[in-house]
Amino acid sequence: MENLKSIIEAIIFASDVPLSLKQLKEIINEPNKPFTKNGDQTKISEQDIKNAIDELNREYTERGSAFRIIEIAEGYQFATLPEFARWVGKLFKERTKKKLSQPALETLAIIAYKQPISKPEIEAIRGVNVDHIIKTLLEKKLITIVGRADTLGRPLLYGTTKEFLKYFGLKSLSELPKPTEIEEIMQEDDEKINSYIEVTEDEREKIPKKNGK
Amino acid sequence: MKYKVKLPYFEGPLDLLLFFIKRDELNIYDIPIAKITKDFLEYIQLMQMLDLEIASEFIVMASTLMQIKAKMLLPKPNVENEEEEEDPRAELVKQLLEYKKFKELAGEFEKMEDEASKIYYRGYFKHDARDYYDENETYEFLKDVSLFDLLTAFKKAFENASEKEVHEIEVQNYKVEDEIENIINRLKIKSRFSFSEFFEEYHEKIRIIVAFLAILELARLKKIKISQQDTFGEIFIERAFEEQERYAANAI
Repeated sequence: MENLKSIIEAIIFASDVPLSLKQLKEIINEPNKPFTKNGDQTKISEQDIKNAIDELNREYTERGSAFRIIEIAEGYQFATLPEFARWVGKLFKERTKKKLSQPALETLAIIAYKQPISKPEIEAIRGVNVDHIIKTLLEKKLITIVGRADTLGRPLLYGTTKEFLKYFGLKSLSELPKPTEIEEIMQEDDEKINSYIEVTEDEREKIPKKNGK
Repeated sequence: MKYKVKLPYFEGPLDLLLFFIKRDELNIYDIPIAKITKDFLEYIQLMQMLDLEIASEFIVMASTLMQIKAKMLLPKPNVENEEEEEDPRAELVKQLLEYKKFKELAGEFEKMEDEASKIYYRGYFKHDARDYYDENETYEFLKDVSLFDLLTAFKKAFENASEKEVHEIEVQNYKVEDEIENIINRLKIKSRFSFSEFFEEYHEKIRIIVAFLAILELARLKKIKISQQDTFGEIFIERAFEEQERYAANAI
């Protein structure tokens, strides 16, 4: 009965944290007694593991299971489907109601996009003191201290955690929503201004090229 | 009676300015500075009227706005200078746009939070940010422990430690025999003591008890006489042994 798919299922099932493909690979290819397929000595690749997870999820879908192995916070973990939140939520009544405050969300957004970032830098953007919010976010483990800046006073630098990814249902930081059009508008404005400054009589032909970029 | 009211709407001066811009459909790139300064100051006055604590950030912003307004009112000193002078509002606009961007992203985050809250992960549920209200939660593993965690733990330990008072316990070793000797010696110097006078120098409960037992023992041996003049009156202890007996007591 011992096949790659079942082994992966067992490992992920037993874990209370998301496991990365790399971690799974290391477990499966463990040097002393690695998994072998019919005596085949070739090592299991991350792609093999990914395929097995996809296969498992297909099986769960076919049989109408209420859970899947989902990709979250740079790893894979078992999770219930959102449509069962109504019911599972009753198990964690308090939790579902506890949402982050607007200031906390704003501060988190700033940290997420600008990390590593110091408190004074965050305050410069928000225009208000963030002492208390930082403390709360640290307690929630949504952010962590990632180092110190080389600037005056060597302020602490903050960054987001895996818990942050999990909390917002993100696979990785690259999945963060793109800043809205404002950024684009601003960039366009900058480009307009720049082209206005740069363009001289003979350079005028180059404009279409610039815009084409 | 004073009432403290918190207006939850404006998280800071930038938030308030954005509110004015949105409400009056102002062009963020071309803010009518006179109007917005007026609105801003009115809001601060309102806060004062309501006896709200005005965060210093609001005062700073008010002064910034007035400074910009003043700059814009002043005639340009160098008209011939072709170089375009920076709009006094530029810095503020930049700040507002930056803040607006994150405010909107916060909205996105809220939606994500909402969606993600519908997903329940398999696990032991010991390590979930959504559970943090449980202060007594203990983490079994040292993984994911940050410097901050250690500091918090240290602080907690420190606070708990200071709550405990330290008592010194002395070994008390009083014997009835010693007290008997002590009483006899005292009665040699002064033949009569009142009860309260006698116990004046005794501070420890256990010693008073031992001394009392000694008095009872001496009374039984008829070495002392205990008398009371009236009901609830002072009790006196009196010597009832002769000089020779003193030597006998000393000989013990």
